[in-house]
Amino acid sequence: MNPLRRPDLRAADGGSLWLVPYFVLAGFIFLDGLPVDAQWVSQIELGLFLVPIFFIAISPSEHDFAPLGIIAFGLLNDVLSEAPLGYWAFLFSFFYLLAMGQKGVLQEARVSGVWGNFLVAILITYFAGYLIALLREDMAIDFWLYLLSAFLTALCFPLLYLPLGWMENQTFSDPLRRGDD
Amino acid sequence: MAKFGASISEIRFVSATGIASVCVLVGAILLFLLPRDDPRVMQLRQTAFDIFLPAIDALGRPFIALRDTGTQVSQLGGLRAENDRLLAENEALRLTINQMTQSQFLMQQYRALLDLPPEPGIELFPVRVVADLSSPFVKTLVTKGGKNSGIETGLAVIGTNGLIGRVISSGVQSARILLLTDFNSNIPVVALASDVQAILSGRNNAMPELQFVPRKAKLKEGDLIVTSGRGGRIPIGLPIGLLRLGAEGEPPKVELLDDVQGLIHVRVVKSVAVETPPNIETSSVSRKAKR
Repeated sequence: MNPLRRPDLRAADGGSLWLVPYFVLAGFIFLDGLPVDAQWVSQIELGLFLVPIFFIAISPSEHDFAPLGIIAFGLLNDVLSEAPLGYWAFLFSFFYLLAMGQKGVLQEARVSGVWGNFLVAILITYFAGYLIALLREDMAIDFWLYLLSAFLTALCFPLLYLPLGWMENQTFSDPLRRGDD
Repeated sequence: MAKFGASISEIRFVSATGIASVCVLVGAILLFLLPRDDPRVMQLRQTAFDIFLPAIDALGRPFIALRDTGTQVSQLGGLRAENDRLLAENEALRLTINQMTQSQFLMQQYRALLDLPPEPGIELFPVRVVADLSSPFVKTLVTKGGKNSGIETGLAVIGTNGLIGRVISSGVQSARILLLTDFNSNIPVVALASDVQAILSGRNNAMPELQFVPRKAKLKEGDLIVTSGRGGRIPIGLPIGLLRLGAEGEPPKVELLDDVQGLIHVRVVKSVAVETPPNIETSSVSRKAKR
């Protein structure tokens, strides 16, 4: 018998499945620098890594160290994307905070409601990013391209959110994983 | 019991919010205290690329292979037309080689007459690009190969047709290249036909601008822009792009000879550094000493 299939060996909150969004986040950070031969792609800043952050923030499983993990990934993205140190760390934490504030509302919301919330949170975050760039001499961001990036990221939201949500539903529909007696 | 559970949950939520708020503050402090070109930050980036290079390379390989396969399949249809174009180009190049041989011979004669010292030799070595960090606020490439391949900070980097950027830092097994299109890129150049010197500055878009152009300079549309060699690290005469004059009052732009997007291989230009002239104070001291 596969020990991973034994319910008595699983942790109450779904074993190590809660780590999946973090792996997805790391994967997007590493794939951000993929050489792409289309000029328009380089002009936009697709923030797909914000989807797993949103997911972590509104997830029913609570880990107090999650914000620390988010800022650590933000710093990693700053280093690997050549952005000023603290730029993505700030935006990741800011976005996490925004999403976490909606946690109570989104517990019972439909996917369309969650999607709408994500769009609003991402627009605010990208606008904050644009304002930071205005204050710095070494950054030049085209407002409309940044706005377009936010909308494109929001369009991709269900493609990532639904598989992650399905995975979590599987985890939390199991009474043993939920921690019920 | 249920009440106790709820209060624990509440406490945890508050603490997570508190931690997140502190993280936002830390991010803001880092952002406004550390400049992007801080040597410690540069070193940190380089070390991070050295550490994460295998992971970035491994994750990117399947995507690059998929992209290459797609490109090859799309090119299959135009093979015949491409072959005809290459044959015509080859013929034209043979004529150019004859003219260049003649010019080279004349140049040797003139150099001998003027007793000019020989120009530093140029060595080209290819490196593979593993990451293209082009985004709205930064235009850099990361190569597989750093000091272990002889890549040093400041060296020029060329694509298939001309200069694309320069090495801004080199680690043990990776190097970072600042593209000409980056906001922080400034390269001394000269417009070949009009003989006007200027600085080519990146603007985070496809066409960098010419800055510090003399007021009375008469620039020509389509003029070839080459490196002027000022500063000593980037060799003289490396082609960059063609001049594109915009509307009145707008700075002239340069259409790069190479498409800097999606480059897989680039070549690093290694030239023998120009010897620095002796320090004036030192020479005067030595002159006094000689007296």
